[in-house]
Amino acid sequence: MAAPSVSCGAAVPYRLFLAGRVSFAREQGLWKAAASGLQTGTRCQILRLKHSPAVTTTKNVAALRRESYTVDFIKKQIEEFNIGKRHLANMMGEDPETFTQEDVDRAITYLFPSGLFEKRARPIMKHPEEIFPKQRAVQWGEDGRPFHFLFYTGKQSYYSLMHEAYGKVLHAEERQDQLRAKGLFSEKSKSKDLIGSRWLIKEELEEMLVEKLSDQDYAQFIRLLERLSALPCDAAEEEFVGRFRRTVTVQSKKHLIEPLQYDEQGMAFSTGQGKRKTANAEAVVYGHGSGKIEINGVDYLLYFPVTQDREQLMFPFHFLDRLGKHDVTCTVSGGGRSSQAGAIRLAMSRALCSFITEDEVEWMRQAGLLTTDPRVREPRRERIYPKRKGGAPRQIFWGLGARWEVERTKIPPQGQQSCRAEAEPGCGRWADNQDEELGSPATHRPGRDHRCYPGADDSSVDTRLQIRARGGGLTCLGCTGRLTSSGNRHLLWAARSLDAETWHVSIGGTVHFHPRQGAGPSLTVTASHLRTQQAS
Amino acid sequence: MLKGMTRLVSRVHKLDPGRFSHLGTQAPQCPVAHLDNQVPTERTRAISRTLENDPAKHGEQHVGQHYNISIQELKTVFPHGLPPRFVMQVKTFNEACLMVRKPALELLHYLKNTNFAHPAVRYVLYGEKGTGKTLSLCHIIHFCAKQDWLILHIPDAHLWVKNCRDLLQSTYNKQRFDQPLEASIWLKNFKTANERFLSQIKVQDKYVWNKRESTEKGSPLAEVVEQGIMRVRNATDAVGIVLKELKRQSSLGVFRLLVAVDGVNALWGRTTLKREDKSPITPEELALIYNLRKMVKNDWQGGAIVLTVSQTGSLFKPRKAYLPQELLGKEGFDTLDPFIPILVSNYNPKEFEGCIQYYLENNWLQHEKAHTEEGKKELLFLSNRNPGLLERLCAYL
Repeated sequence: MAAPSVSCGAAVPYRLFLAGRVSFAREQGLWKAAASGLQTGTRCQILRLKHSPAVTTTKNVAALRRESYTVDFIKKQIEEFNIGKRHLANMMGEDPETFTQEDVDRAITYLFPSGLFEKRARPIMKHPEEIFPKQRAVQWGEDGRPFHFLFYTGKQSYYSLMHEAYGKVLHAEERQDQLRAKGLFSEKSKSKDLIGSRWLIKEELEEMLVEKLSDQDYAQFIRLLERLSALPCDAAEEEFVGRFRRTVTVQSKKHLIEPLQYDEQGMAFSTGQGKRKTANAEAVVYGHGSGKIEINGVDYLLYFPVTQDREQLMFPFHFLDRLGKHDVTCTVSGGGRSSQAGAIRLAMSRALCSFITEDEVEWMRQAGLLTTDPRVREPRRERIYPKRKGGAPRQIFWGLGARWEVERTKIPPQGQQSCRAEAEPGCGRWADNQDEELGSPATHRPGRDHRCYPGADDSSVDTRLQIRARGGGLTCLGCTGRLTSSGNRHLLWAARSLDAETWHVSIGGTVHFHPRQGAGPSLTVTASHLRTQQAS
Repeated sequence: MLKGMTRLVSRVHKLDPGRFSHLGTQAPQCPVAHLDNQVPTERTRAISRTLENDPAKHGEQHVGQHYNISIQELKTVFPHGLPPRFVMQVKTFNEACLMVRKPALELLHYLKNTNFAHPAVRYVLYGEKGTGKTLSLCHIIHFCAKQDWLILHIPDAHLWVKNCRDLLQSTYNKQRFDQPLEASIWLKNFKTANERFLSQIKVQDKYVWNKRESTEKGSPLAEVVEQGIMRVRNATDAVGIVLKELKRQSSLGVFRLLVAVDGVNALWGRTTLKREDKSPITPEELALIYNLRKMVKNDWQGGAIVLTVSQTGSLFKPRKAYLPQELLGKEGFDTLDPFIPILVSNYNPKEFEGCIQYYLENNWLQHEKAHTEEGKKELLFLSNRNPGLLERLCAYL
């Protein structure tokens, strides 16, 4: 395994860095012990895991990927994954035989804690089947002849599947006719099979066939399957249809409904807890009351002066039609006004579950009253691109469909000395305009700070403006197409900032700015600065 | 939003057919109840309105009902002093209807039984924000006006301790400050409210305004008021004189005086006014406040003092404070002690119903669910029966 070890060589410091984060000494000891016996394949496995994308649904189809993985390669990956799993189990002190994928996930989150906000960017270790997208094996032989008879349709798997399904439909209809002829036909309802499951969605079908489908294809296929399932089928056909159905949990009653509790006076009450962002709330809902709500000892009208928060509190009761029938006492801490309201709402809904029927609990769940809001505040990201160092600000504006950036830079004329006077070598200072007249040498005193302002009165220094434009198209004024009003405005703005009187755009995307009389030089923004396209 | 949510149980069959016809007759801006569909509207009128327009005759049976004040009376009795939102409502509905409520009734009862030989009793209306203290005060003022008392109504004492552009050094006392603008506005309104008294009451001292003008002893109070209105520089002093004279003369029994101050906690709080050298001014240094404090002391007879403490408009007081002790501070509380506190709270269910009915009658609630029971429950929950909040909520419907 020479090649993999080479690629892993660079990764070793990275590995050690990560190993350093593992707190358990035992783990480290095992790690070091295992490292020596560890096959480089595992390292490469985990290294590759860092770089390969997580499984996504949309772009899995083989046609979109540039790299192709051979069958041997995938097999090797699977072997390495299994070995790596065993090593991981050893590391964690678990039994390698009963190490499931959930255990793997847990181990990886423990060994590589990541604070990344996007869950899909965190380290994963999964079976190569899930990571590497499915590829189609080579579909033609050495002589160039395709294997499958439907290859030239372009979507061979899809059409072969349709062919198969239609064959089954015909078969079933034939059988149905036979039964009818014999008089043994009975109306058997098939709806039992279809409840609790759903058809594959288009993406899942695409994934299954490793082919891209269009919406019409998908619809056609589903119609055919529905037709098949409507006919009386035997076991083989049912199994065929079952391949394209996924179960759906109709009512997910994951959370328990606590029973009612009774206090000293015999009043029924129930507690619930809720969270939203950083606010935590606990609510006690009493069975009989007049609709009073007390929060941290204060009436809810005083605690939430904003109507929006009170509407949030009203939502569960209004939904269940129990406005004014319950009394609530709650405590809340943390968060802001709106998140406290959300937390109390969740706590109240959960407490109310004890008072209502199961159907109503399901209604509430569907309304979203019983779900904790997963939204949290996004952590601050670091600056990736450094700040621009001082100088004139870069102005960005949009015009003519392109993004323009205008930057003023003071560039001394090429090939000339920066001062017209004799400058000392190494001194990059410019002469002060006010000190000298044009053409006469100025005394340049070293050590004195000169500054030269290229401007209207000094035409020898170039007011180079860097104008960059990205995207969009530019047309000539004289040709077809017109500048949009926003484009005009932006060019006018640029012209004003450049002290130019007029401008014109020529074919090829060159913008010429013409100065006023006696003002600075004319500027030309050439095609090398712009990336232009012919406007469509 | 919430009202558009799919409900668990279909509500259609529960809607009253009578209500639909109520919906159907949407006559624009017709304050009088609809003449067609007599029976239900008669019933609703009975709940929300009463024909008894004299506050003196209001009793327990009128609680929750609205009585009408004619527009002329409104102009004379309340040139100032009504809350701005109420003024807008009067303009919209083209009528002024006040609700009869328990605190006001209690106070009326006390006022009817005052013994004018005893020193003036102080009543303090207090309550949370938006519960109706100012309107209860206006109810009392209307009663007293009908009973022919002299009304000394300061609409909002908070206005006198903040946002004053021109502060002059007082001519009378160098330590104090004058507020000509506020004083002159108040004098104008005072004149409108109490025209008939001003000519009857005679001044008992001679007051010299400046080298050329003076008011002789025995001249009517109207002259002092005129002087204050015309010469804005002397307005504050005119106010002081008016207060002094009224206090002196009400003890004689010529007339009965009602001192009504809204937001009396401003007299003892802090001000946001500053001198030229940016040092803060205490309320005592404002001449208006100083004179008013003298008025609120119970060392005179022949009338009553009705006060309101409110957090809205107060300076440097926490939002949740509503008790007199919190809002008046130690100094104010000691000065006002003893007083009779009257709590003004949120609507009780009957009053709430009455208010909703009133809005429905005036076609103010246009939402289709407003007539239904669920709509009422929603409004009840959202406003928690707070009158101010209910009014603001209904403004959106």
